Amino acid sequence: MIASAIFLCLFCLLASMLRRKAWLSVALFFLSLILIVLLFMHHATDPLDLSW
Amino acid sequence: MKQKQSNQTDSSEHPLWSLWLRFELAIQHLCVLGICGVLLGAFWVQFAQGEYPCPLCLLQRMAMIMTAVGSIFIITHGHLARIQGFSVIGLGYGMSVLAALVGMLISARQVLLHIEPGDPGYGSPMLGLHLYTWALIVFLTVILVSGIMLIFGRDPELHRHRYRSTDGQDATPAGSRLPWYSWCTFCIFGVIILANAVSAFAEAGFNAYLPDNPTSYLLFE
Repeated sequence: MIASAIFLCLFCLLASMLRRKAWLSVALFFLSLILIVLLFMHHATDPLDLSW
Repeated sequence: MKQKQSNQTDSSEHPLWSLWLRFELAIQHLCVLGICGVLLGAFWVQFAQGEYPCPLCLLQRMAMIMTAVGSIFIITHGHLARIQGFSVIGLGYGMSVLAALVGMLISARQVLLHIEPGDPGYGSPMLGLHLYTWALIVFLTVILVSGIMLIFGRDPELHRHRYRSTDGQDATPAGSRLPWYSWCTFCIFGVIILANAVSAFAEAGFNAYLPDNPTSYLLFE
């Protein structure tokens, strides 16, 4: 579910590109990037029992 | 000042510069469509060959989508040239490079997981390489193209005439004045993102995380 939520966040990011406020797109970009990195860290550390 | 403006107009009206601007615009659209092609290829492997994408594969797809978002940003906001003093080209290609670096990190990890001699790797190879190795090459290519376009990219404000309305006023938001080919690219990209969201939901079901080695679509079990 978290993966599909991130994909939906990416879709919102794409939709925000059509709006006048460019900073909304930049903010959503960084939010998505942070979510992706956190999910990657979870999958990378889970086998090591580091509880990320 | 007037002379400077006149020089800018002259250079923007030169056929060669105009051609270069169109080439840049084509490159930005091709970047997005190229990523769409790669993602469609991943779907083909998933559904036609019956291979289930692992969590790292999905993360690489996300990073690929984010690399294309940089080009979309330039396509939709290029007519502004600068936002609060920040260059639109810099923001767009900067987004692509950051996303490509994260994608490289993810695909490099997956390559290293299967680097041991004798390891068959995850999934079947395509054209001699596994999908995560192809992904690493795609991310490297994105960084290369972004670097080249940052050096040779011209001020996108020169596209401004495309966004000017019939009464001579600048069109306001990016979306309302996009040409048809940009809309097509935008819609294809949007459909692919939504398809990925549905596919990821079907694979994980109502579980928070995907299993490391998925063997079925958990939503339908």
